[in-house]
Amino acid sequence: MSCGAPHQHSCEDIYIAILLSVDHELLAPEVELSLTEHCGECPPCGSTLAAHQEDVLLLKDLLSSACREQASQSLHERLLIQTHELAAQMQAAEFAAGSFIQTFSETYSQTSITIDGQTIIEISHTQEFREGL
Amino acid sequence: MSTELEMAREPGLPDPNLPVLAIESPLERKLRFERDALVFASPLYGAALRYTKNPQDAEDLVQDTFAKAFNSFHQFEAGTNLKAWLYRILTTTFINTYRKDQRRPQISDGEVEDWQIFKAASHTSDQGKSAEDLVLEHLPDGDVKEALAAIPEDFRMVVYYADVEGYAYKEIAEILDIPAGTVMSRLHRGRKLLRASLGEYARSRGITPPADSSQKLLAPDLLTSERSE
Repeated sequence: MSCGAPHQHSCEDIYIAILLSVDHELLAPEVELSLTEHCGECPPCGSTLAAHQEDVLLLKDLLSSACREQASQSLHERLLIQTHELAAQMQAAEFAAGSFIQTFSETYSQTSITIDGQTIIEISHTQEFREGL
Repeated sequence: MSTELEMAREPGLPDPNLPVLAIESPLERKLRFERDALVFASPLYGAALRYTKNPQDAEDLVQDTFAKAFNSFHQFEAGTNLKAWLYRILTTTFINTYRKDQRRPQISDGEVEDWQIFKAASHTSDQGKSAEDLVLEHLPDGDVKEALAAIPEDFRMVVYYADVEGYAYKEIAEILDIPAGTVMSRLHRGRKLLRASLGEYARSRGITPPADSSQKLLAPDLLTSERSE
């Protein structure tokens, strides 16, 4: 399994790093370094890395052009209708449960007036509860 | 009603009795859902088709998924990946509803031995890849879909999420609820199975590499040994 030369890390250990690096998974800096060093001095591992990179690129290319699907118009319509119905059911359930406060909003507004060098700051605060849709 | 509530409140302090999560009305949820979630109908359908292998069931699966997603939309954490969240729901919906009665072979037993396969494979199958790459590039989309559909689901979906959707191991692990190490082993094994299968499609269609590199075609090791898995 090895090119015969002594390496700091075995080719088997490096193989896992190769698989991770092919998928752009984050490697610890020292693992990254070991991988680069190992593949530089071990031609079989170097070509394994290159072959895996090529393979993954090819498969990604083939799969993403073959498997990108478009949902049909009728599915889009079903989903819109379903969403509307579910929202209506949720609405009805909330009315039934008596929790008919639907929205609560607060507004702060600040007005400052300067007269004769004196500044008056007025902050007004409004709250609004709204019921139903 | 609103007057009473306002009077009951301490000025400037939120009323502890108000249900904070109910701030979003069903109408607001509907609008947010349509805007943020329904735009993923096509990618979800793509994944659903990989699970169910037929368009009608895939559409039903997508519809069920969006129904569940709508009803638990308040549980979705803003700022996290909504598409991945929907894929997670799609996966559990498929497992719970569509696959309920089907017995399927479990592959988890061999998980650890996958590493042995990897080790055995390192250094052996890196000859003549480029010649075969040229051949596979000419396969029609239909063959690629069929080849993907033919590999076992556990491998198929990991390959799909990684190579079509471009998800990282960690994201796939969350979608499928499996450890990241399992994602890694299934992904690489799945790719090998797929690649071997694609090679067979190419051969059956009589697509051959350029004559000068014919001795490289091959990857006989890929085409034969992998099929026995």
